[in-house]
Amino acid sequence: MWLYDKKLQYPVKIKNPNPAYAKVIISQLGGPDGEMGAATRYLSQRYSMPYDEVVGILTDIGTEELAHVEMICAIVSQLTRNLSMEEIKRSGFDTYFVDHTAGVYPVSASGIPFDAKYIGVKGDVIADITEDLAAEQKARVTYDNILRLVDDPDVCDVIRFLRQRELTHFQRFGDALSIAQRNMNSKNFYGYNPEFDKVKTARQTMHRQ
Amino acid sequence: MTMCRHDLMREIQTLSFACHDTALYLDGHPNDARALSYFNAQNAKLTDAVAQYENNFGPLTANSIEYSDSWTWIDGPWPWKYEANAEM
Repeated sequence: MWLYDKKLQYPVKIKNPNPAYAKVIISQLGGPDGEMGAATRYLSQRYSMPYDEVVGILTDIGTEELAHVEMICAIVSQLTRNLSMEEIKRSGFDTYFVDHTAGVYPVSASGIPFDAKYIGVKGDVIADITEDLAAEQKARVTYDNILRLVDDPDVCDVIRFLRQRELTHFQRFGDALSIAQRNMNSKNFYGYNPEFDKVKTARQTMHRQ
Repeated sequence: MTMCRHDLMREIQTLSFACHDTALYLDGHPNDARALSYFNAQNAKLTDAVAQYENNFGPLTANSIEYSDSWTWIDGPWPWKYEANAEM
């Protein structure tokens, strides 16, 4: 169960609307490495994850990603406030505007709607955690690219915060991978999948005693 | 008297559902005195039940963890597990 906290994780206060910036930043809402995918990926993977520490990491990072969805939406919404038709046409925002006006809809920068194909839930400890490590790096690259495209300190400050969180999450998923490997057969991590196979090793029995 | 874990959880689920459902109604009727007073009464009971649960069985939110030598937030069973849920 979730409860909504009526606050942003980090403040978003953008003086100057800029629909061209909104059009690229919206990729971190509905794009292939965006926050919506991140939240959905981690919160879906946790149901079959056998290690409580990793379930905690997936739950808490997944929850934080929901807060990042809200921050990206706040950025897009502030960048598209009070627009004139002239600005909409001149900025290239017209191709988004025609379908969504100034509503916030999860699409990539190139206009492809959000798709669950962006995420993986393999039901296998090593496959899922290494996907999560890669996902955090891909989101970091997208934020780096946004910082190359955007020249507004109000926007860049928030993007840098979100970029830093990708690095922190990468570290925490690194912890998760170590915890998983500690609990698996070190001679053969792939001998069985602890999310499905019922084989118990001595090390697994010793887990968290 | 301390209730068992499943009974207390069922009580919390009932009270928090009453609060949540009333909140949905209040979103559209923010000045309804009867609904406001019902919400406040249920919410007070919920606060007590949550405190009783957390004192006996562990945290319901990460921020409610009392000082201890280990981070009890990750202790199972997680709420989607069969054994975590009460018989209906």
